Amino acid sequence: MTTMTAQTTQVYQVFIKATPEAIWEAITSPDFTAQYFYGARVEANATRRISKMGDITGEDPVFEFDPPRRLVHGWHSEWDEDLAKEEPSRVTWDVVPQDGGYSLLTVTHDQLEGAPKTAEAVSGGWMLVISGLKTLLETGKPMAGA
Amino acid sequence: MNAVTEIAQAVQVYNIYIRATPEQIWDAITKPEFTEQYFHGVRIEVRDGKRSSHLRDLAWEEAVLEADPPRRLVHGWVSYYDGDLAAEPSSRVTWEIEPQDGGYTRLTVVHDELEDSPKTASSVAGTGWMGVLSSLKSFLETGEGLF
Repeated sequence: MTTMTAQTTQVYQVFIKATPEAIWEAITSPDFTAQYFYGARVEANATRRISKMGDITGEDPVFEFDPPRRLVHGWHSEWDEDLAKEEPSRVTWDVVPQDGGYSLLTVTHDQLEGAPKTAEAVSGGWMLVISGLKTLLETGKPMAGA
Repeated sequence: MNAVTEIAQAVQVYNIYIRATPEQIWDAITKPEFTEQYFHGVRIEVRDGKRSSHLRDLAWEEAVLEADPPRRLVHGWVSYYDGDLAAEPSSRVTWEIEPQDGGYTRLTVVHDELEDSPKTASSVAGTGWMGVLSSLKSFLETGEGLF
């Protein structure tokens, strides 16, 4: 019961020593996302979020686009055939500046009721993604690598 | 909904990935000269079966229940730094450190046995632990914690 609830609404948070503007650029620009998002080149604008990984391209609608504070978009896992068949879910990025020169990034992945395999797949992945994003913004280098 | 929230708070799980070795993370969570740079200024030392904390003129101790460097540390938790929280029963914190391919490490913190410590549970939840883990990651990767 608890597990199911947790999986259909998943919340991940990290504090990053960066401005909201820098974080916004890192989550909406392909040159940045390629360095921390499983290699995916992601581009988001006011209407669409386009994600390219190898020869796979996924496209999801953007529901809210309020730079540099809030981005809400649809999610479907185009890279995996089983997951791609599931219903779309929703991802919200909230960026809130804090006193002290850092920002709180909150990623909420919800509306996963019709996508149990996706819920399971992303639950191990979001912290890796936002950990890598933090490393990239604070050190200028990707987290993974020799 | 309330029931679910309470259950979630009595067992809290957080993780973060850090570009550091398990040994570096172990040192950062067990040595006071490191903890004071990212753990709200608290000097924490894990030694001889105890976890000793110093913050300004406050000092307190918790039992170490398991210490398996550099992989696993389990200790008691009492929030001595706040009068209301300090009156609640002791809970438990487990640190698990797992190296990953690619030169980084996953750190997982499980804070549980919080059933009888609702104020502590609410205080450490969410940005409480994620603040500490974010600051620890910054400290290990850049040399400076966040707070």
